Amino acid sequence: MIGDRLFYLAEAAAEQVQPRFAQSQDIGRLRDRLRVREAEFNPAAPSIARVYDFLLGGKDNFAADRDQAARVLEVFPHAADLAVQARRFQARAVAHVAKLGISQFLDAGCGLPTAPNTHETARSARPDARVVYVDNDAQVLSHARNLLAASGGVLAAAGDLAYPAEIVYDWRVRAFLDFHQPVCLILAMTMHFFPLD
Amino acid sequence: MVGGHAQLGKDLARTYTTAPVYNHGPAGLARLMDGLDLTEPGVVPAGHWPTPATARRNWRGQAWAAVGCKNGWSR
Repeated sequence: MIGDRLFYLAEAAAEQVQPRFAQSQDIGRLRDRLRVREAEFNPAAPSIARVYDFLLGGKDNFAADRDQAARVLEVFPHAADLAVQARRFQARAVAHVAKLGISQFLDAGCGLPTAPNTHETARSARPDARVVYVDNDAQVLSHARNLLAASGGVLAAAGDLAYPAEIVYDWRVRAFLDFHQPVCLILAMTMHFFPLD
Repeated sequence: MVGGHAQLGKDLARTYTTAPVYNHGPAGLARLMDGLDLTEPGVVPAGHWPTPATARRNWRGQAWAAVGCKNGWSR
C-alpha cells in the first residue's frame, strides 16, 4: 500500500531493461513496463524533448528533431516564440509559487534541462526547495541525473504523464516529497499531448 | 499548453508526427484547472502572465498558461 492505494512493485530480471524497478496499480501494465525499454534513445527518430529543445535554441538535438521542428515552423512560424514564452512563464510561475512559501515542486514531463531550471528558480526564492523532475525519455533522465541530481534536494525519476497515479504514488517520489505539505505540480508544454476529455 | 485556431490544430496534427497533438484553447485549460483557485489573471497567453506584455500579438496559436492553487494559497 502506498498512501491509500495498492500498487504492484517489481524488479526487471533482464539487465538491459530501464527502469529496473516498475510500479503500477495494474499487473498487465507492470509486465509491459518490465518488458519494454521506455522511450529508448534513438537519434534517428525525433523526440518531443529534443524538438522542444531545438525550438528553445538548445543544442541537445539531432537532424531528425530539427527536421520535425522545421515542419512545425513551416505551418506555424511562431512556434519557437511560443516555446520561449512558455519557458519564461514557467520560471515566473515557479518563482511566484516559491514566494508564497511552497518549497516542493514536481516538474512532470520536464524535458531537457534549460536554464533557468526549475530548481534554480525555486531556490532563488526558497533555498530549501526540493524538486522532482519526471520524464519518460531516457535521454532526458540521463541529462537530468547528470546535470541536476548533482544538486542536493533534486530527484530525477522515470514516469509517464499518461499514467499520473504512477508518478504521484511512485515510492521514490513519495520518499522525497512530503505530500502532507503543499506540492507545486508543473505541467509545462505537455497538455497538448493529451485529450482533456 | 499550445492551442489555437482550428486550422492550425489540423496543420500541427498533420506535421507534428513525433506524438499525437491535441488543439486545446483557453477553455480547455480552464476545464483542466477546475476546482483550483486561479491566480490572477487566470488563463492567458504565457507571455501575458502575470501582467500583459506590451506588444499584443495576434498569432494563430498561443501557449496558454495559468497558475492554480488549492486551499487559498494564491491569496
